[in-house]
Amino acid sequence: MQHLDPESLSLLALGEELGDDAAAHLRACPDCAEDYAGLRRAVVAAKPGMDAGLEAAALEPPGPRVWAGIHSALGLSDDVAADPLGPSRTQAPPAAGPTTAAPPPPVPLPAPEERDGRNRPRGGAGWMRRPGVWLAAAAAAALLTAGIVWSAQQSRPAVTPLAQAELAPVDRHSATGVARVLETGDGQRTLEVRVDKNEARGYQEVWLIAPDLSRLVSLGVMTSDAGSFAVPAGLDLAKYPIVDVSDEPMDGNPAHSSVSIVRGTLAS
Amino acid sequence: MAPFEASPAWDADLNESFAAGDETALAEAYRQFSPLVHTLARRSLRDPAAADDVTQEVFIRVWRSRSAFDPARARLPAWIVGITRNAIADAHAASAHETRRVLAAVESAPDPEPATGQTAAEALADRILLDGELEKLGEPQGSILKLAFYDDLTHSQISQKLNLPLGTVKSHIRRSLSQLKSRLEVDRATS
Repeated sequence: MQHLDPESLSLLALGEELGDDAAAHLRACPDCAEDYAGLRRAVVAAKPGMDAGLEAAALEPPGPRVWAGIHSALGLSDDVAADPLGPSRTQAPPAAGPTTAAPPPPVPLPAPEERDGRNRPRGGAGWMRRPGVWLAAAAAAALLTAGIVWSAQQSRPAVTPLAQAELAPVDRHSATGVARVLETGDGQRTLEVRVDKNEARGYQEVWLIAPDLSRLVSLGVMTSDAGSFAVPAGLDLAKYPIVDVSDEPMDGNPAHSSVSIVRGTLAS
Repeated sequence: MAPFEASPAWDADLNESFAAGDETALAEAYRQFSPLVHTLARRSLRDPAAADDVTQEVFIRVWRSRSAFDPARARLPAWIVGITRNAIADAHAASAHETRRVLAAVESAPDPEPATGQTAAEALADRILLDGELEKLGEPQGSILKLAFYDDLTHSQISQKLNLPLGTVKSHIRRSLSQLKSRLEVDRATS
């Protein structure tokens, strides 16, 4: 069988009709089909209107710490410190402390905690190195923020958690973490969660889930690699022993995305 | 020229300001193209953390190599896509000694994302790479392809419209398409 000449292949790639014989040969001949495929790819790429609005939705943005790593590695100015992908991904307070309750420090560059060995945010502790700013931030935060409470609890091993869980990675994730339930003076229970890195494509949400996965309670959004969440009074942890951190897309759907990053079961 | 814009929001002035060292141009490039960079890396490497690392590496390289970027010859989006494919290749090479681990990961955890995602990201990358390439074909090749692409004219209609011999039109189409094809392949060969 005679192969299609290059000009015919080009015209076919442009969508011209060259008759049944050419079409039949193209279907039957792997060599010609390969050449055609390459030309067709160029036509599709160069021709307008074949993919109008090329599904930005199909693209997945990088994690919220990537820009901080770039910013730090290149020593860029504070003017461009904010994640260009927008604040909606890194809902404040990004790094004021490991809790969601602490107000953000009034500094331009949030301190990206070491996500893992790969990121190396060299200037990560920048705001810590500026005592004036740090003191101002501390004063503004009225000293007794939940973040400081957390720090105190972290450094005071005397606090015995009611229950705790080792968090193991789920599916293709590799993050690990710990969760524990503490009781504060007034009987309020708090779930503290800490992961070694934020692997969420969207944002992290913390859940308590029944053993058979049939029921679940959302405790809130975790914007960094640690968070502290009030456990609703009356919630029986024995009925909701599974701590789950999910990866939630920004789609406005309040349900669990069914993409879990880490999971563990509370035990006292 | 408007129909060729792969990314309408990309202001050509940003090519100049990027080349001149304006950090806000880098931030704007990141805003517009980091999702594509990340998606290309993610689909190729199948590892979210590695894709984040590649994304970071790409924009660091983009900035550090800006003196090699000539806004008169290339557009920043195509420059970024080219660097992305190189960085992905480097990431694969770096993990080559871990081939067994990678193969095991691939076999045990096939990417559950729909294949359309890959198609869309790759198609968008192709489109960005060819953005502006028709202008570089010269004449009459550029006009011939624009009539074929924009106006959907057949080669014989183009021949009549431009008053060129049929064989000349066909020959120009063949060479021009081959050139566009190799633009994609050269880029891919580096990745």
